[in-house]
Amino acid sequence: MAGSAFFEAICRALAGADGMDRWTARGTLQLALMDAGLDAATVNATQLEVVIDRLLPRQLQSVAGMNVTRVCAHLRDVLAGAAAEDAR
Amino acid sequence: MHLFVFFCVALYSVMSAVVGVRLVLRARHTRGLPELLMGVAYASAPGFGYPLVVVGSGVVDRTVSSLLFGVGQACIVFGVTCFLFFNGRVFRPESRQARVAAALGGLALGVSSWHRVKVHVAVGAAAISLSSVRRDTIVTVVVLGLAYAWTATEGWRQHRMMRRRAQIGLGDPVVANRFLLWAIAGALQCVSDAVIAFSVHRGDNLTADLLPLFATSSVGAVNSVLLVLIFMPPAAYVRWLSRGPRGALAAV
Repeated sequence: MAGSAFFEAICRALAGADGMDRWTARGTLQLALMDAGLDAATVNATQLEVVIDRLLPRQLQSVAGMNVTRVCAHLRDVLAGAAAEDAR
Repeated sequence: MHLFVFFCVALYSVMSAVVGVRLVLRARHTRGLPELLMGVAYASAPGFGYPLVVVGSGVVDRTVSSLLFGVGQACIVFGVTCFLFFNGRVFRPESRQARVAAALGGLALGVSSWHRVKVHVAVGAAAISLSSVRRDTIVTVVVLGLAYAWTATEGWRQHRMMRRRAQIGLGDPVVANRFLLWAIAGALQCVSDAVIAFSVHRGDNLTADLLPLFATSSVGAVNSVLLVLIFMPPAAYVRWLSRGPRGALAAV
């Protein structure tokens, strides 16, 4: 099932991180959304920001060779860009 | 016992009518389809349809009885169909299967009610004991049971999601609580429907025997309270739900 534009943007950005591929990124993000009680199809930028801050770091901790803090900061930038684009 | 049953069912009908009309009035301002569907559902089926059917069954004059019974049944079918489409629209807005299921439920209910009205016109209130009318009653109870089971399942799912959101600072505890109450109301109606189906299967008289009367009246009374808490919650109740992050979580 297709996710919201924000979800897809974060999936693409996460897939480019060390130790990740497209499917792992998508699955990891979906697990974090499930923990948050959110749905990929309807999740918005504000909700994703909270997920990236509060839940995603925990999911990513076990990925070997990943700098979780840097990746999450990058995801926040991508999300801010997507939100700004959406606001236009 | 009959007085108690009458009071509980009347209370549920009055509360349903009040909530239904309020929701329809709100829908006029918001132009929202969900509140319109739910408002029409409550006002039409338990609010006006059910009392009309009960009164129609008791009126001696055959023409008036048939008219009231027919209008009441039409209100019930229309209301329950709106309720089914509300479920589809709110919980599964993208799902074609949900719309088809809602339409099929409404159709099954319409056909069985049409047959029941025809028999009522021909035979009068005594038609309730005929086997073909019992079959129609079972169809009605099954459709209603499925509709309420759908409501209870979706309400519980949404409640669990809302609770998880609340744990990370997202979501509204009042809305989460509303989904919980919604799930409880649906589950109670399912239990009531199951008891009625069992009674019909056993050959009980639904308007005289203790078991179906108790199921209908007690669930009606509890659901009257739930309707108020869901759609017209008192300010104190909302304050209690929203009294702080930990309190809100404990409440929902």
